[in-house]
Amino acid sequence: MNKSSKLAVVIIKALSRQSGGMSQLFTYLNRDKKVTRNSYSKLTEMLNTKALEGKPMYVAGIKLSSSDAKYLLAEMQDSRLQQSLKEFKGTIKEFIQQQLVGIHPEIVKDSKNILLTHNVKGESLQAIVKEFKEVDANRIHHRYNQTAVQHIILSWSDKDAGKIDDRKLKSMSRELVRLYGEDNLYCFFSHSDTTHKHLHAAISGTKLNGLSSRMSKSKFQEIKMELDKFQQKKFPELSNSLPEHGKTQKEKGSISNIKILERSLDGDKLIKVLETAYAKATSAEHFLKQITALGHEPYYRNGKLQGIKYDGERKFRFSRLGYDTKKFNELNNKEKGLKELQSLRTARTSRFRETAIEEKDKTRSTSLTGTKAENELQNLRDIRQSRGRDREINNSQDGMERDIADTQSTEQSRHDDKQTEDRNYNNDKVEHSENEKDSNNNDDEDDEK
Amino acid sequence: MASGDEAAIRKARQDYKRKYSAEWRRQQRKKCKHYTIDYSPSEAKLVIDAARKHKSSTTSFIKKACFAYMNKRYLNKDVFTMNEIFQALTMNYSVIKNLLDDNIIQYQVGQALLQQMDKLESELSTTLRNPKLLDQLIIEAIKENPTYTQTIEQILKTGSCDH
Repeated sequence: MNKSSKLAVVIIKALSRQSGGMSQLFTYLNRDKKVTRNSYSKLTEMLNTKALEGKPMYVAGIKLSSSDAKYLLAEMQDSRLQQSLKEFKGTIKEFIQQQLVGIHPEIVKDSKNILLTHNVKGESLQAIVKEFKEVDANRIHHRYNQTAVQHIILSWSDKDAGKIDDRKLKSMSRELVRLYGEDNLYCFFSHSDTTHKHLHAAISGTKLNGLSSRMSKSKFQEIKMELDKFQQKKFPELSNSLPEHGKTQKEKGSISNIKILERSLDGDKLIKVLETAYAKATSAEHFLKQITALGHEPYYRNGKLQGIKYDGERKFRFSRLGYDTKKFNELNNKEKGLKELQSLRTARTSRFRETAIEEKDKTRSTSLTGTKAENELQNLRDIRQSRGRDREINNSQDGMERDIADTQSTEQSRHDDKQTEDRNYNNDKVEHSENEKDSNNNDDEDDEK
Repeated sequence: MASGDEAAIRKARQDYKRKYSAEWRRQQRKKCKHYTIDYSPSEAKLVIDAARKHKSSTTSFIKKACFAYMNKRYLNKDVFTMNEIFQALTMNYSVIKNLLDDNIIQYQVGQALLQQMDKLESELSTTLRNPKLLDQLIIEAIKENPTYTQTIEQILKTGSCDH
């Protein structure tokens, strides 16, 4: 990108000054074009000397006599007067009084570059500085390093230099005032000492209500965009002065995004590797061995296992990959569990063997004493059988008595049942005859109808 | 710090903060005088209420009141409202100035309006920012009209005025 293309935008720059540097800033902003002033003064000096001496002189290869030099001097003074008259705000009478008679010569001299002021009454540089200082002093919440004046630069492309005039600059500065806040003090200085025209805006650090006029970066960005829109709408001819605000940040952002993307891709791969290794791993050591075998080295910090280097280069923390101390503890517990299981198994097998041996010993002993047990069992059976016969005899005597009582009770109940059945039958009969009577009556009534 | 122990880091930070604040206080003592005043509960209540009325903190109110008494000035009761009034006046001034610059209003009319606005602002500034004391006002009033002496005497004797 060459220099001209760099300048082919409206550049807005914001700087802030503390109260100490306020006067210096204003004097800097109100400076004249140094080169022209020198050449102009040199030329006037030369013309004056040659005119007084009555000698001819050469200016840009053209020979000038002493009378020509005098005429040129007079013309230059006229043009200066005409220029100052154009810039002067007031009647011709006031201009003559102030400029030619010299009542307030410093006003026009001082306010040479001032294009526009807002909420400022003074016209001279000293008066403006005084007002800015007053506003700064009226600040409610003081800070030792508070901003007294803010400096914003609005610059246009050198390609559009011919299309810009004071009217456009004024409307742009008024739009800036509207966007930035109308309750600040503003002083705009137009400069054309470079190839591209630009405006310097001095804005008070304190509002008229005594509060700070600080603006956030995001808000300032919005103002820049709004100002661009205004320029596009109002002055479409200034096509070379349309910037891409936030371009550098975007570029920076894209670079950082690429890095982030690469990192995330590596991270995903590493997570897969870790998952497979973790599934197979029997302990934390085994897990790390598996990973190192695949070419990823673990790294330590203060003797603690911290993370893993992907392909031995990019570091990834275990905690970020989801492998915290809990997971490693689980692995260690898994190892412990396996050991316990093995120990249990070994213990069981040993017990089983012991019991098997004991059973074998028992069987041997029972086989030796089998005849005695059979005899005992036979004796027990005999005893049970004898006891069962006694019980049967007792039961038969009790049963006779019970049978007699049962037959008596059954005969009584049968007699009662018969009586209740007869009664129910008679009742049913009466009901049935009554129902028949009702039905007959109803039939008769229907027939009559 | 090198060990990376959280407790050690916290302790180191606390120590640094303690040292820094001690040094700052030492420097501050060299620069400024520091006074401690005791107030009884009733006195404190009076001062706090007055500070609240003036929409400022208690300490700043005490300082401002002290300087105002020494300079024979009144304290502004509401700085925010006063600033808003001046803001409105200044913005009106700039609106007229813009109209004048754009030749929307006549030059003479614009100049007259600007002069009036300027006058109004300066008068308000003296009355609101630097209000005159009562004795100053009385002296000025008597200078303008010597008959006011009788009315003042009447007020002092009876505590009321006929007018």
